[in-house]
Amino acid sequence: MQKKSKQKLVVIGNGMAGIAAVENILALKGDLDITVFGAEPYVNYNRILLSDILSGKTHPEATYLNAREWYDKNGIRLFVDTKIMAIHPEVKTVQDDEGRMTPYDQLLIATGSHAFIPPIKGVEKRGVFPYRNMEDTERIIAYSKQCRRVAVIGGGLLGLEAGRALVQRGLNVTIFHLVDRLMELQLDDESGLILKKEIERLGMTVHLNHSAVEMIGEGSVEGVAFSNGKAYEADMVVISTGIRPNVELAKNAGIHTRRGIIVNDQMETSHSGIYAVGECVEHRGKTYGIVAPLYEQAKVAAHTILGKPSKTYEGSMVSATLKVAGIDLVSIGNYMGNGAGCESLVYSDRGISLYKKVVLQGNRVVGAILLGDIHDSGRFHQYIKNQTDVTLFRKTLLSGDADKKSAGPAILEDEDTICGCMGVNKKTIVEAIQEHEVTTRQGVGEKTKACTSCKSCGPLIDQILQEVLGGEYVPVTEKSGEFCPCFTLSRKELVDQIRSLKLKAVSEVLTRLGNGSGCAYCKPGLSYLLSEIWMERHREERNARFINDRVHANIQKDGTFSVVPRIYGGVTSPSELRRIADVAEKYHVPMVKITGGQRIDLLGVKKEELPLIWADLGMPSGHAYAKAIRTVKTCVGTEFCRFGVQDSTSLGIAMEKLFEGLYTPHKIKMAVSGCPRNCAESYVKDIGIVAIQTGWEIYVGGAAGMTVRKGDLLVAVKTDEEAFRAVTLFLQYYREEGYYLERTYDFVVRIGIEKIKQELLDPESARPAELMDHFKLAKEAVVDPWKTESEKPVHPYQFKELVADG
Amino acid sequence: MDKLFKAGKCQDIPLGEGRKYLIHGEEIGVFNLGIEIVAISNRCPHAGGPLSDGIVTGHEVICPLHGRKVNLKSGCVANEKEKVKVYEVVLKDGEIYLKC
Repeated sequence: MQKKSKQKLVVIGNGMAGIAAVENILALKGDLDITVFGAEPYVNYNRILLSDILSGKTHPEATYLNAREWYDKNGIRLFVDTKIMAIHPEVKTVQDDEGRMTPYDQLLIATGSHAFIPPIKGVEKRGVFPYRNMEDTERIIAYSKQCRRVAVIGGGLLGLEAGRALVQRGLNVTIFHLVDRLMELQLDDESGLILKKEIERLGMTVHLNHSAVEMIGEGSVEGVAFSNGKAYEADMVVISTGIRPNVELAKNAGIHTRRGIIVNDQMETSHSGIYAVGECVEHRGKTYGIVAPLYEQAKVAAHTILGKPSKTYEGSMVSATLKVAGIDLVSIGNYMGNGAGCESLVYSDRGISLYKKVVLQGNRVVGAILLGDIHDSGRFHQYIKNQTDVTLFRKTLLSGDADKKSAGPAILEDEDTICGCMGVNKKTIVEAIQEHEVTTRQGVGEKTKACTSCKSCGPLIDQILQEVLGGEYVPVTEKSGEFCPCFTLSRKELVDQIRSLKLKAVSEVLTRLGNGSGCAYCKPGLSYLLSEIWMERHREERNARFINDRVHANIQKDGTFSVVPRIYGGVTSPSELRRIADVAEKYHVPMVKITGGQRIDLLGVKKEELPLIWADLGMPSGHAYAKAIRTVKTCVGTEFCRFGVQDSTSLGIAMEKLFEGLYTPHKIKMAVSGCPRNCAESYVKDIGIVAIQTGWEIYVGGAAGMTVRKGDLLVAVKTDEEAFRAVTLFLQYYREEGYYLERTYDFVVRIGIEKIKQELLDPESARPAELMDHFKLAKEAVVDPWKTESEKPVHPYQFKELVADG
Repeated sequence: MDKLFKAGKCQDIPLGEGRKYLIHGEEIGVFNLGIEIVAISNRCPHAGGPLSDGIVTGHEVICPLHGRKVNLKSGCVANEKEKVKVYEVVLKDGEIYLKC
């Protein structure tokens, strides 16, 4: 046995930077006697995921990067919940809060940073929290349970993430920011403006130019007062106004500090044998508050500590990703374009909240802001890192088509960081793909942790998969796997099991394949799935349906319902109108309104009266309450219009009769226009038909609601029969392949219009014949619920209000 | 003093659904959970939604208007401070009696 005693390394700080350095030392087979002190009572956890804990998406244990066993296995002594009080460089020891002295040969300081709390009167009040670490997060969660309104002080990266997480917990969130734009350290004016709009879209209120001066309230906080004289009520306040490096310990030991602990390119401090990494350091005048630089620093520090000072740290390009679900935002490097010879290329579309900016200096990219679409972030990172001359493809730099190949991951080096959040380099990912035979982003994530946090490196990982696997690689869309958390099966597995076990009712599926009870999403979702799989020959369970589908009417805010009778193509008659008027008067209907889909809506009807109204109307259900074929809107076409080129009214009416009563993953709005002037708004319908001189054009996947999208041209046809066939095929395809609650505008984008054309129109494809068969079977089983249930409801008390006897 | 109100038979309420009862102008939602019958005040504290029209999963009903989750046993409402009132249910010979 070798008796020579090992060199002693003491690490102050059990966070991501300190442990990254230790991991690098172990990877370099450094044989040191390592002791780690952590002030927090946890093992090393991923601080980036705190907002996921705050929102309830994950739990603390899931963020642990290194389990206890890891420390034990590698012979590392770990002291958690133990604060180092002093460093004594002259005798090479550190002293902890229990007075214990621990000697070292080499010392690594990785004390991180703390939340900066501005001088506000009353910050010590109950209900006011900083947001920086696990303990803060757990305290905020506990306190938030009794709160409704929360004020977040600080509209930076972390403040916005906290705000979003608290919205997900159901709180009313208002963000107060000191200056006149959000995330001013990462964004310019225009992108700041768009981000504000997006943050408001997610349900937060934003007040700019607000400097908090006092927390109001007796004991507990009840509101916040600002320097402009305004005050707002709040029963909780979260402060996120920046961080400050923890330098006191080093400073008291005589180590040189300014804003941070000063280190050179080898990560050495002013004292020999003492090194520092992470958010506590200042390197070449800069401090960092994000994760990627600390991994680079940790690597260099490990080399220096092991006496291999070949590597140097030359500073990091700063790249910040906003981790707020629903907003994609990356800011890289010199995003403002300050500096000699800088030019900015900008594309901005406030309407769809898209902003792209690339800053050039000479022929090189030095910075970028991407908001709304971050697919190109990997590409810009590489241009900056490799100092690529972009002269030749400057024209397409923002759109990024021509040069994509030239900048693929092949030019990345093994050591290059792919996932900044988790600090995973290309080599690790390539090895995972080769050794574990993983073929998806998720697979890579399971093996390497890459792309498990903010997911902005996903496209880059796809490219690496493509490069390593070649033809074996099939891209998988993120949503495709899951059906609902109530099931461990994917949607496809679920469908296969339902077929093979011949399950016909929702309760059977839930007990045999799911968690037994289901949820408000999967019960209606399964109802649809079963009706589609068994072509309306499933066993109906009304308790799995949303109230609208139980009573075939649309519930309104006061618990009353609306009744929309079917008026094919929007063409009615005096006698029909008279009947509707009579019914409205007889039942004292509070509002009669013409809808956007050319129908008549009777609003404010009591549930008990629904069957009576249906019977009196004697008209079929308009299905305005259901995920089904809603309306076919038409114009007057050749019938009366002097511009019409085809008979859009007749085609619309015939289509509505053909598809009436069919249920779909989400609602289907249709339209037929008699000429390209498009008065029936066919371009923005789920299925839109437009007359042209030679026949009809059929558009699919259009929308003009929360999302606005022009439909994609599926096909142009000559005859009405061909139009019927094309629409039927698309409709049945959507019924079979669409996810529940997926509108056609998402469906068409997910599948891709070219793939849809190939499946439905290619003469070689077997799919059309099969789709036609299924459609016919489903259509045969259609019944009009208003007719059947006004005579005989599913349950005798379906529509009744019940009165109890005293 | 609480009084017992006779509120029909168990089979009046379809399995896994709720129905609204009016007792002296008070709306009460009565739910058939299969193994038991439970009753709560029918108005969601969030925006007054009719809870008896919600989807039931386990011991919770989801308000049909904005999806608030209401616990049928405790009356607790997720993300709301206010609870809904829970009524005691007595079953006798297949008849439902509400104590209120």
